[in-house]
Amino acid sequence: MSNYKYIEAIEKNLGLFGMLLGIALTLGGLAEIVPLFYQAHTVKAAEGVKPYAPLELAGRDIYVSEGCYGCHSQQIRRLRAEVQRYGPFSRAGESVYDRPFQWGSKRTGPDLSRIGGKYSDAWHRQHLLYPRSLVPDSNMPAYKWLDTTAIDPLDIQARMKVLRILGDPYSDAEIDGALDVLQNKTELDALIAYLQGLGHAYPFKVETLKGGSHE
Amino acid sequence: MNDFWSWWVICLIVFNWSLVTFLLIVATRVKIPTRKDGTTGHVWAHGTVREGVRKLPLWWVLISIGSLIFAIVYFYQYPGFGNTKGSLRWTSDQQVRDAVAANAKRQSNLYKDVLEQPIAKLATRPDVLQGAGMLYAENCAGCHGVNGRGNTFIGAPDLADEIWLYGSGDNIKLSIENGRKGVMPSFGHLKTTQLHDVAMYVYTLNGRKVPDIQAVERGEQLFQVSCAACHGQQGQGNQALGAANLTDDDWLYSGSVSGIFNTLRSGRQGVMPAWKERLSESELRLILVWIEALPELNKAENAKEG
Repeated sequence: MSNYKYIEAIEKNLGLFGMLLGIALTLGGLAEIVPLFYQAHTVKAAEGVKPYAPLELAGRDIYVSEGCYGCHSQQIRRLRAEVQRYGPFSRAGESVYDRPFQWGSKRTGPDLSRIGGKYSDAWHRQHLLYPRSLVPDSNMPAYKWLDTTAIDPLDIQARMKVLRILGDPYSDAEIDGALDVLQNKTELDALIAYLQGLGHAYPFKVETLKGGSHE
Repeated sequence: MNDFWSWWVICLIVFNWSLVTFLLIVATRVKIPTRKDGTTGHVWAHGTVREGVRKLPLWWVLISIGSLIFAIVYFYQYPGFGNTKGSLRWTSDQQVRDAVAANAKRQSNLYKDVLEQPIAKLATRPDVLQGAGMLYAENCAGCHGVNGRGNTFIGAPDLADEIWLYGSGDNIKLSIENGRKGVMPSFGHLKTTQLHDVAMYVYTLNGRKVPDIQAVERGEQLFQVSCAACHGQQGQGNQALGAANLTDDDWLYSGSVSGIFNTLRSGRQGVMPAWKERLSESELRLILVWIEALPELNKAENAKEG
């Protein structure tokens, strides 16, 4: 058959072969990845999810800058063991105000998506400064400098203004009030406020997926 | 996904599937011109290696055809072909719900016992203790410690002893369900010497001795004015308020003179979080089972370590 000449042309021409290979590989990406770029912009905040309050926002940035995501995920996957341990699985609408999202996949420590309210503020304070005084086997580093590093209120206020430009619905009153709220706060205060707020948007309910123990 | 992206995905899938099918049909039928010696004329290494012609192995062709058929069956049953839901109506939400429900069914006999049998009886059952221990480790050990001996850094009470800040029995369950908030105020407005006197008095309440008797006497007077309303005139505490008994050897925070001094100066607001949102009734009871079993478990642990 004369079709052989086409096959021969591809086989003997590395450039053409490479281009066609590239197109073949791109098909999958076009179908599976590209729609998600646009999908991401259509995700709405889940019910109860609000932009971070000033102190929480400062804490979120410390969470990122200290690299907490290196050991802690914030994503409860749709697996029985996970929802039984950590609570209802994570929804996309819960992380619309995270830039970048903190889902992660590395769990040297536990998942933190719903850590808010699980421990007291005093516990977090003690645990961040002296982890092994509470959990003897813990290999979490101590973050002692957080307690002695102050938050710069103007800096956080500026971040809120930028986030508003990016679409986070902060009101003027919230941005103006930020300076008062952040007065005399340390990085430790901020990080604890952030941790205590995690997961509250989608509160634990015994009847939602807690499972294994439905009454 | 909106209609545009749905059709985008559908078109790409159809195009890709058709292309691969086309190639499988056409390319396997192409007749490759051969020379007299049966080779194609493709040569490598200056002619020492010559390329022959072989048909595609049957297994390779069958796997390819199988994959193409599998794709059709898969997209018919499962979501993925644009916005289609698939004949099985499969969702990851439902899958995890089903898994949870199946597990609940598997454990239903055990949980029935947990809800119906008395705590003391459950505390002797190894199968119940296994689950109870896991729940305790995940939810309680962070503050109260793996062996339940509490933590004086944050004022987490010892759960393995007989002393209950808010009372025993049902009060323990109430503490877990609703949480507790300690309300020891700060007495920082008193003079340092006064705080020291009170600390000395409180230190001696459980029978310990200090050399400075006069300080203790001054401390007692201040104690009756400032502390007795909650802790009682003899310092015996008040479970209704969660005011600690100061006459025993059990200290939520440090029981040294300086530790008591710090408590007086700064106050203590120990917080037990509320668990009723996180834990179901049976899970709460399992934790009570573990607390009930703690003294025995610790005894066994100590015996093992010799």
